[in-house]
Amino acid sequence: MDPWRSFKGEVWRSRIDVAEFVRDNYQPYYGDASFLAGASERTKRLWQKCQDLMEEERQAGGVLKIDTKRVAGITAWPPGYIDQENEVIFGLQTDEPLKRMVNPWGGWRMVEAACKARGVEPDKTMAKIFTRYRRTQNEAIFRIYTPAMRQARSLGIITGLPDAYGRGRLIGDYRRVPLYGTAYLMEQKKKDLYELDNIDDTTIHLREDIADQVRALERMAELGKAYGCDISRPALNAKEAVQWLYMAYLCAVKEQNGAAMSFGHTSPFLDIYIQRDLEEGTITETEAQELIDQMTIKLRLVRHLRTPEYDELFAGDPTWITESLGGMAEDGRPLVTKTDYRWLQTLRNLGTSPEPNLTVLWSPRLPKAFKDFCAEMAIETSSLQFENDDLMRPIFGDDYAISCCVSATRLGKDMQFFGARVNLAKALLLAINGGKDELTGDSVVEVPQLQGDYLEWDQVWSNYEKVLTWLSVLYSRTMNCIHYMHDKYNYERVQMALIDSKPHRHMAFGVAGLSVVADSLSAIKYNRVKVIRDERGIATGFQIDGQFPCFGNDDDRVDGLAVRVLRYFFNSLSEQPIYRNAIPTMSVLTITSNVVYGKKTGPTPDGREAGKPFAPGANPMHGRELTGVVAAMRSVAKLPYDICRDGISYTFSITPRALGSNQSERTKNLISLIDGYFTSGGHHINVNVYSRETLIDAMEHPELYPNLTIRVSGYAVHFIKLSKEQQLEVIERTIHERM
Amino acid sequence: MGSGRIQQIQSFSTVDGPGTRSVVFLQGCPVSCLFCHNPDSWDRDGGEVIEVDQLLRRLERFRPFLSSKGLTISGGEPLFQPDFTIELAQKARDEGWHVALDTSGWGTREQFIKVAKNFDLVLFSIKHPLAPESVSRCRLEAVMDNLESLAELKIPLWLRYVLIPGWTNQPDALAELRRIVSGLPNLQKVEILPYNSLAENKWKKLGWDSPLFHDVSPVTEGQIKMVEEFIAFTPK
Repeated sequence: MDPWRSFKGEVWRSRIDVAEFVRDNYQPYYGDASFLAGASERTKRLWQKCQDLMEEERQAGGVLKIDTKRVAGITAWPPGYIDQENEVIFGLQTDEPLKRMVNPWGGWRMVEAACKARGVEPDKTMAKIFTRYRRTQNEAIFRIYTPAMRQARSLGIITGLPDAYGRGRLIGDYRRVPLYGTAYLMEQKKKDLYELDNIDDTTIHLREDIADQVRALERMAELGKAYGCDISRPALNAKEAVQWLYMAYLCAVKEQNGAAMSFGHTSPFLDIYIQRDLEEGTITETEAQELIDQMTIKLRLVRHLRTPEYDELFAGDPTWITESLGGMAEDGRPLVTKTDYRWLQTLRNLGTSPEPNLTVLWSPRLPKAFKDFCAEMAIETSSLQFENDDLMRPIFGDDYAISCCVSATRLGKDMQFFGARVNLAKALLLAINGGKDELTGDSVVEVPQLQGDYLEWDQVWSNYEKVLTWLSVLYSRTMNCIHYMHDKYNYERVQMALIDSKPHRHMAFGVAGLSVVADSLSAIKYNRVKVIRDERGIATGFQIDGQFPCFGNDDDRVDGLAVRVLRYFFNSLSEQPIYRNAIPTMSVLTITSNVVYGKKTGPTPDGREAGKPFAPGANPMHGRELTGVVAAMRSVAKLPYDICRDGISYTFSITPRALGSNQSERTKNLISLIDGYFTSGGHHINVNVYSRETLIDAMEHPELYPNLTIRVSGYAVHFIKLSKEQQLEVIERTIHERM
Repeated sequence: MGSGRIQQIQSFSTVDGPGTRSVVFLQGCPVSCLFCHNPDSWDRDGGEVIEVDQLLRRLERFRPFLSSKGLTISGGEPLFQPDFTIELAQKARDEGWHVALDTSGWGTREQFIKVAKNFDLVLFSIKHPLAPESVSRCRLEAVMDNLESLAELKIPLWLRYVLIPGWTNQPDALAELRRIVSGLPNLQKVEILPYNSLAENKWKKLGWDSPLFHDVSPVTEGQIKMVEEFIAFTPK
């Protein structure tokens, strides 16, 4: 049978070009959700079994099993099944569901710490190999870190660095496997390899990369074979297309434990196959839904073995399998297909869940029925995030996906060097404290000691510029060390095999604590801030008389300060040399780490007490958005996407009643808020519709809320999987309500 | 061009009139309700002085977010700053806002008419239909007079009534409320609102106390429903 039968278009047949294939063949869908099918009997049985296993996992303290005997790899395990007769899509990371892999490539210390935390002994032979004979990414990075890098890291000025875990962020264009098969992809990679024959560092580096990719494609085909799937050839029908696609992704998560390993933007692609089968009469809607449901079940079972420190930073065992939905094509047609609806339907068929991290690429011009359905689902599940397609499409084209939380990346074209983030609030305290760390008193950077009892704006800003400049040098150099070694010792050959051989590289820098800094600067500039210093000259507290403008109230005076800080820091970063000539980008994003950053930060001039959490992402500080949600959105929308192309995360929480008096009102109002936010230039929004009482009740009775999903900065989590501290922080956040 | 005092702006509300609206809370109120949620809006010399045009420019930025472009002028008591309220309402209306007045019905009939006729809707808060002075400084006669004038002018009206156990739920009060409701041809909606003590902190910050903080039991949904059924209002 011809795998490409009845497909239109020519260009994509003679070269790898999935975007062109999609353009030539997809059918936009303008109708509503009434065609959707419920879960099949097989899906129900399979999902019940998985839910039981996940409950066991929860009761076991979060980890069900660890396989300490094998090293993570594509073909390390024989095929594994959950319940073969009810499974439609095959493939597990190991040979049993929820059994976690040991992945030592990133670093042996992490394996030890993670095993120890779970009361398991790591394998001795493996330990010997990865400590004596084989260098790991973590070890290599720490060997070349300078004392300044180590200090900034341990004080929490630069944090969450991917120097002890996989950097993630890369999205292989997994669609290439079903469309072309691995044999053709391998052939093309070999061609690329042989065409590059210069003998210089850059070229040899790239050639080694491609050679690794070829090997990965071989292994991927082997894995397929073990499950009875010949993925070396193109997929013949929808079921194979879904299976091949998932198999390609599975290879990536078998070999890598990257923090965020996203899925892509697969709906229009898969829809072409499903549509063809429907037209050929070989599949029903229930079966089509079953394919998406069962793939989703598999994605919900992806697990990695993490250390307790990692869990503190990224709460709730996330994997960030972000799947992008919706969006508009460059030719003006919506990229919305029935399969976008089918993905959303998994939230009803299987219940809400943080994974996959469903992300709607939103444009006010999307079909009305689709906007309605997305808004309804967001209100019903608090599991969706929305990103501004009209902002991203002009930069990334229409074949991009969201990687990790909020970062756009062109499929098969781009890769990102994940750069975690710096703590801007701590940097401000360095400026105020003469370059000394406010908690330890350690000297970190040379800046003049401020004089007098009151903070003078000119002096503080001048010092802050010095600190930010120093930090941009240190930060970019640290990133260069990390990614050099990550490429060398923990290279993502699977994902890179599904990206063009000469990718565009981005260095994704990030910042945290922006609203704390903006409010602090505002207090200094528009009011008088008295400093209370200890004998070392370090500020132990601040006194502010009266009011000052706070970020989140659509007040240009303070919103402008936030923009000014971002621009200054990004300009400094842009002047630094970057590994592999990557293009710098920046995010305003914290995930759940705003709690940890706050913990490591002394009192700030905005009145925030020592150790108190920051607001998540680009959010205004809790309780300071006195003019309501629209004003808050307007403030966040002023943050410049042109320099923050890695994403600006805003988490919005509202009570059902405050959103509207009934379901149709709520849907209409939410759409209007999102449209307004995006036409004002906003980039990303998490939507949570719940009451504080629900969260408090869930804290007290977690067993009653196994699926309660909430959006945090850039992803979603099961609320009951958060630590007590994080739960309290979420409850403290501004939940917009009007009594 | 006039200026006035505002206490704060709320950019998004679904509970201050129909649809989605922005709300401007004016500073200054002579009514002093015991259940007031904004006691810091009473002082007529407090708040922020702002020009009408400046205020409208701020509000304009919120409009793209609102599915229905509503603006409610609340307080404080808007009738306490009649000229400012009139100018704001007129100009906002010219810019396409649906404007609503949230009032206790305070002031002389003449002045009340002068202000109210500039609005698309009046949200009229009746404090107590028999003895408003038991929970506020409203005078019954003036309130009823102004309510009547709205009916005469055929200005669309919503009535709001805060149910406070022991204070506003006496059978004779509710019967009187029912009688008033049945006689208002311009009435579109009756909102029975449960009293809550969320404003207690604000009062305490000002060093004030209200007797309601001491002996009022929480209102249940069932009580609200019962009163709604008793009032038995159906829009005409």
